[in-house]
Amino acid sequence: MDNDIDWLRGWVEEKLNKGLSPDMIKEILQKSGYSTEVVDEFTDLKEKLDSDDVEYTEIVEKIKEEGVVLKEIEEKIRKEEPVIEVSKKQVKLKSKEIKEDVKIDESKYIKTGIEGLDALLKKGIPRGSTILVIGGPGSGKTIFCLQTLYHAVQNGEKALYMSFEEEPEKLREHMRDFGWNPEKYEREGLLRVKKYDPLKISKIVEALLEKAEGELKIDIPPLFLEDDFKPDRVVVDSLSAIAASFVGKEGYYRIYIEQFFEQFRNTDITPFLITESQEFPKRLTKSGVEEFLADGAIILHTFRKGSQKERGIEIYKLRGAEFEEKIVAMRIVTDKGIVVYPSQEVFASME
Amino acid sequence: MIDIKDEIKKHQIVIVVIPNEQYSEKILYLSKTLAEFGKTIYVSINKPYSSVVDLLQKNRIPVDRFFFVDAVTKTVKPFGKDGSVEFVSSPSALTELSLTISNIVERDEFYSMLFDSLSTLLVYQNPLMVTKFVHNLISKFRTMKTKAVFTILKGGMSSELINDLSMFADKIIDFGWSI
Repeated sequence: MDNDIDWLRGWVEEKLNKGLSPDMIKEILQKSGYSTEVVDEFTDLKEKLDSDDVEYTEIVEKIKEEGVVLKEIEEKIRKEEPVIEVSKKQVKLKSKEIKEDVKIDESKYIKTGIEGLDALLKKGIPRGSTILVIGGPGSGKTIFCLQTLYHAVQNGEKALYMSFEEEPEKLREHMRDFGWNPEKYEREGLLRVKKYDPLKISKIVEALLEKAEGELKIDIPPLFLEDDFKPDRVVVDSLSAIAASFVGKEGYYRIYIEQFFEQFRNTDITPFLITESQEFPKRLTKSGVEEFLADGAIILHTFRKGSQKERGIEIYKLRGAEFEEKIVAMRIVTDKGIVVYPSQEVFASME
Repeated sequence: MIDIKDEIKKHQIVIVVIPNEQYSEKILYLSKTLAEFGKTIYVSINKPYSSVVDLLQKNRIPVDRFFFVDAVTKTVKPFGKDGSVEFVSSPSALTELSLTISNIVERDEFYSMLFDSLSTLLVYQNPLMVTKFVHNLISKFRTMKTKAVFTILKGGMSSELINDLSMFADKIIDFGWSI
């Protein structure tokens, strides 16, 4: 009985502290099946608690007389009363259930480490999948990739950032802006940020293809696998820069890109391949080849209305894994990087 | 004649239709009523938060019963956070507005939200987008079991929106008709 009294006392106090008026509490209790007499006892409880003259046993006796079990109150309120806020408790329980339900085999799936996005990806990205990261200028592609690499190295994985445009120091600066410490992981031998020249690649490919006299299969020297560094995740920034170096020889680019994807097959390396597109892409990639070859595609949308910009993110495809198919809100937050809101719809469209 | 206070108390999602000439008076009435019931989020799309606070204070409505979301001030001057207000960059930033409101409701306990007003949103957005936005917001408030009161001016572009929103709301209170 003492427990019941404590529970009741706590319940009334909690509701009063939340700002619910005695009237509202009265109404809730009435809906829970109590007589006016008992309801009045309850809603006067705060004053009685303050003045310390309450006879709890009397109240409980009255409840018992009416045949209502005290512990049923909360259940009744949950079912019948829309005003009472039990949602946080429910949300916590729900998230616990979800966590328990999903036991992920970490050797088969990877997490991006991006707040909110991993919820949309359910189990995660199948390890070894080639993932296109598509978006317009300023959509957050580089931050997305830096963030997922940083998450990897924080968890003891090895990561390589292959930049075909930006200087490595500029990329490190980006990371430091978000409070990350790339130098620490570079020193530990987990992270490598390197600049590559796309023109060199196109020249090599061109020479090889000309020598092979139009053969569709050539042996391209390994682009990333340096003997002393075997990464778990790789970022290629960007396929668009590589494609640009093949200007006028788009056919060669298609052959090369097929080989390029082939390099990653049957490895455990998960490459994130950045591709520049329009802000709200109708076509994902310029050549149209990459989206067929890739196992997955994540699109970073930018919607504009006048001077306003809204950001959205979409998992467009992901072979061999479950994911939620919708465009949800995304923000770039100081000190955090990209934050995805998995249940927030984007209220914007392209004009 | 219906008892407005009672109707607001009884229903979770309420759309209040107000004739133009009664707008200021009725907003104060709604603010006072909701403040009496419990802590309220005041979402201002019309006036800067400081003007709303002045108005409430002049009418002896307890300001400490409110948390404000101001979608006006940031369009005029840059502003940070203050203890009882959060700023949204513009009334047209619906995603940001929705996220801000949701975060506040999830973070703290509130009895209700007063959204002032849907008519101003119609200046910035098309009716379909406003309907989507309100529907989404209503779903969140239902999940969080918090009351939501949306105000809208009577007539003009509002009629179509009121008709659409009547599907989602529990009660439409028309001040022009009921008082």
